[in-house]
Amino acid sequence: MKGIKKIHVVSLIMIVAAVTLLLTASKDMSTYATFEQADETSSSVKVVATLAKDKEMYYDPAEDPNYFSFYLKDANGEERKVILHDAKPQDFELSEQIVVTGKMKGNDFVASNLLLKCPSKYKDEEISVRSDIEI
Amino acid sequence: MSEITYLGEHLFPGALGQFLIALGLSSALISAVGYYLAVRHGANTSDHRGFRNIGRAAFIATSGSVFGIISIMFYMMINKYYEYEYVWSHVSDELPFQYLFSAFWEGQQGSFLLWMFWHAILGLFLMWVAKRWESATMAVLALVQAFLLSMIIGIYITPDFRLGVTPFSLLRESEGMTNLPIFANANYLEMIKGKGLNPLLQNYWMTIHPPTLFLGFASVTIPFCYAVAGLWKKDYSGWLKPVLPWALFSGAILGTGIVMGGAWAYEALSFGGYWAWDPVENASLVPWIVLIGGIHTNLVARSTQHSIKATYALYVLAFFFILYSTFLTRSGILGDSSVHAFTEMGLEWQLVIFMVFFAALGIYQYFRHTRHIPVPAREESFSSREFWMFIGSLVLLFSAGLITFTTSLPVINKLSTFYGSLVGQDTSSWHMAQPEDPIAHYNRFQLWIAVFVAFLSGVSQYLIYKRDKLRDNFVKSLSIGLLVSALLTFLTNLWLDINTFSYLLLLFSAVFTIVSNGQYLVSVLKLKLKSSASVIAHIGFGLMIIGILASGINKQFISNNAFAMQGIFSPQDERIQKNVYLIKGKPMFMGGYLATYESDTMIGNNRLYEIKFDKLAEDNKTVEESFVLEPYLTYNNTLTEMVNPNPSTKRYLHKDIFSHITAAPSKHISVEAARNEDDSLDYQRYNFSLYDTVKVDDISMSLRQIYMHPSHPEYNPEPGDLAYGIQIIAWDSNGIYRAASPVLAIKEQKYIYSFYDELEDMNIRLRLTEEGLNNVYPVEATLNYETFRQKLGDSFYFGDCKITVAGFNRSPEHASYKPEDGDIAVAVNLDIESAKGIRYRSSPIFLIRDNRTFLVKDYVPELGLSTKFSSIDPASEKLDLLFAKNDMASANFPVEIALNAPTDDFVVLEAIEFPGINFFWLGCTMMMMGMLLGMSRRLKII
Repeated sequence: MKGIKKIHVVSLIMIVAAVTLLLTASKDMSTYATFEQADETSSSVKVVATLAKDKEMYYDPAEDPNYFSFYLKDANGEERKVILHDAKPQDFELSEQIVVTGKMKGNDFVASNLLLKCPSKYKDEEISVRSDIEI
Repeated sequence: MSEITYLGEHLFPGALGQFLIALGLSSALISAVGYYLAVRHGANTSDHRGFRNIGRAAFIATSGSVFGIISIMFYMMINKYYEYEYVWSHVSDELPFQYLFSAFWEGQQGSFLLWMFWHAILGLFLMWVAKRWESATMAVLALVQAFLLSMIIGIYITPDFRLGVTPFSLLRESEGMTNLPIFANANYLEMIKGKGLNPLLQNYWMTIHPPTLFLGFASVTIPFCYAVAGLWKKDYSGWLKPVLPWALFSGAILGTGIVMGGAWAYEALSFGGYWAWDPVENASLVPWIVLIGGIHTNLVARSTQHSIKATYALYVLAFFFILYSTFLTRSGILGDSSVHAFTEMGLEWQLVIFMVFFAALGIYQYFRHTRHIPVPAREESFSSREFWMFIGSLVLLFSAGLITFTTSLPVINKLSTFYGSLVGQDTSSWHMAQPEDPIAHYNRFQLWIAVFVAFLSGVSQYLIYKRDKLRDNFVKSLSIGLLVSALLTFLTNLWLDINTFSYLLLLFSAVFTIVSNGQYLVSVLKLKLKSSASVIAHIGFGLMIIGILASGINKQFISNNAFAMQGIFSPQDERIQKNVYLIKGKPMFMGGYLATYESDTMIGNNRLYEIKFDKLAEDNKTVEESFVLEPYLTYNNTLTEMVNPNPSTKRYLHKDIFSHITAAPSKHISVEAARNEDDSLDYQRYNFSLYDTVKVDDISMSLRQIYMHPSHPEYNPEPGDLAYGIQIIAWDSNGIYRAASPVLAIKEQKYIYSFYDELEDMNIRLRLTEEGLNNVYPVEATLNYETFRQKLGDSFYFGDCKITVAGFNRSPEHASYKPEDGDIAVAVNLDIESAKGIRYRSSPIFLIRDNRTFLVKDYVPELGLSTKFSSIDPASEKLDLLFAKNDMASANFPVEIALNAPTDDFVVLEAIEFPGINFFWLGCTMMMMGMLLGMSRRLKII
């Protein structure tokens, strides 16, 4: 066994452990799906979508502060009603893109997590003019 | 088009700044070359003096340039030179002076400069103390500084490739701006105002966090410089001693910077926690973890000559991860997965080159010399401390690798797309999304790593360097340690109540670290605090883990109301109810508390909500304790829009109660949202006369009072306003009475503001119309005044009103009278009793100003009575009083009423209890203190 050191054994163990962990980890990684694919699976998926601004957005905290529903349109133009059991996120209407995680329950998509991509309010290339001056 | 000569621009500071950037970059390069030659032409123990002096002078010049650039930028920002894009983007007229620093490092260039500032300071210090290591280390540092300066030089190498982005570019020349019509005006500077610092960043964290973090970043460069220098000079073990204090300093400062970020997130942002495994957070954590690994192998190498290679590798990697983190946060690649990366500036390729260059330098030096690096003939033995410390460092590197893998998913996706474009294949199906639940994902692996590291940092204290055999009392000490730890874990768990095996094991390992390090402190170090750096740091680590466990696992949403939710959710519904709806003034049960939303107040940019918490005893009746939390909403600089909800926390020694606002009435959110909401309501018009009852749906309403000088929470009265308000009393068939007082005001004779009011609990909103104004401000020409000549104390009748002259007031106040110097003004107080027996007071004013007489009229709106005081006869003491009446009884007040209107008197609150969070802060602080103590010991400061 000359030449094989403990350090090599340990390194080998760690490499095996790393690969195992990464393989298990990749199960955590979700893949992007469409609503049509979400219909077919009972497991949780991530959908990249945009807000259907013409459809109703419902949040009435007086009735239930943990219920927010809205409609999303995915890349294929497919629309679903999405339900989030939490308060309506800040700047929701401004979002350009919404990544929603969750699964279908009946005809509705029940979201466990939302990631909003908002244009920064402070980046618009627009020069504000002093209010007391007219051009 | 002819060239415009712009007025009022200050072009000199920008030109000087740009010159200094060029000077700084070239002197950084000269310094690197000078120092390089000093090593090349020097002996192993002494550098070539001439070249070294060139390197020194040039480094001083580049540092001077950096300080100069920063000073010029501050000068421009203080003087608000909006002609510069950077000033315009980050400063505004309203920006308080104390936020000038935050504004400076808000942008990419400013933060690069902050980083360079620390490099300059550290470099000058290194130059002074490094002795024979000076040239080799400084050559590397100067090169790093040159790369950073190239990030802000902003010159076009080819028409398409710009090197860096300068902080001195003019607004009118910057991207997307050149064609704006405003720049057709020569005096455009008089018209524009700065955008100002993002209100989210207007807090003290933004003042202290970035400088600390960037000092941490800059300090990681020094161990890297030493590592390269050690290889380069072929002095493979000589550098291990001088580098150690630098590495410990870096570990402490970078660690502090990261924890400060967590504290900021916890205290000022509302995601409810101090760590979210956000890619930007990870990006600064990973180099720290690697550096900590490096410190451990460095210690091993110093004592045993083992692990020298590992020390090289870890210090190089730590610096590489700093560059990688810079790339991740500044290239815009994280756009999809992180909430707080910088915006793109087209620096991606430059950042990639920066990263690749220094990675290549480190790898090249390492492999060129690796054969020569001494390795002791004998292997580390299983029972030696060095073996387990090495394993521990490897585990830390392993942890860093796992974090980096997930954080780098966007990079991996980009690379696969790139590969796809090379081979002409669509690789988008290979793309991986961020884990569904990132926190659970990271915790799953880091948990076991933490268990391992915690056990190692406990066990290692029982072991000794360079020993094949275990200590005689090893088994005894270890068994006592394990036993005591088991007992303490049991006791701690009485409080934490954990029943998951993995968490219990983690708790046990953390307790074990504390116990064994404590044992070591007592039995080996004999309580000598000076030598206890590692003990303090490791106990800190243990406490930090306990804090994470306690606050993470036992985090509890107290903002839920099981009672109110009954019937809405079935009992098996395990969804966590995170938010409660609070109506102003109405106590609400939630998680053992009675919460009451008491009031809201605007202070500066913030609206504070006062929420009172009454802690209830077991019987749900007795109030054990009360406290008030004030979560608040921050508005933008024009107060038209809410930008951030800020939490408020009640701190106890053993727990925190954390709360923030998750939803508020639309008029608290933005002017636009409020207008949209009000526009969407169905307002119907109803005509009211004084004291008449009007039926609206099943509610009866009656107009009871008319105000000439109305008050309303949102109405800000100013002289010259025409305003009125009414009070409406409403009642339903159950005999519940409510009142509302809407207001209407005309400002500057053209802008009409209608301030609605709501009937609480009835969901009814009322607003006034302009027509009603004519009743309150009758046109003078339509009035027929009747004159009465009376004395003080006289009573007489005008129509059915009994009027008494009650007295005089020589310093009268009246909404339409503004006193001036030299005025002679007298008001007469008239007591008026109407036919219904209601009493009113009216006080018209007689005024002499500049020898001319003015009559200031008074008006009693409920009676429609106008009064004037036209003259006084000093001889007879008789007054001339004028009275006129318009028909108020039949006057018509149209009111617009909307039913089913949303209420404005509510907030939605989220409240979370974090037990034991102070262990986390205490543990982190101890880790950093331990490292600073170790540094001071090695520098022989103490």
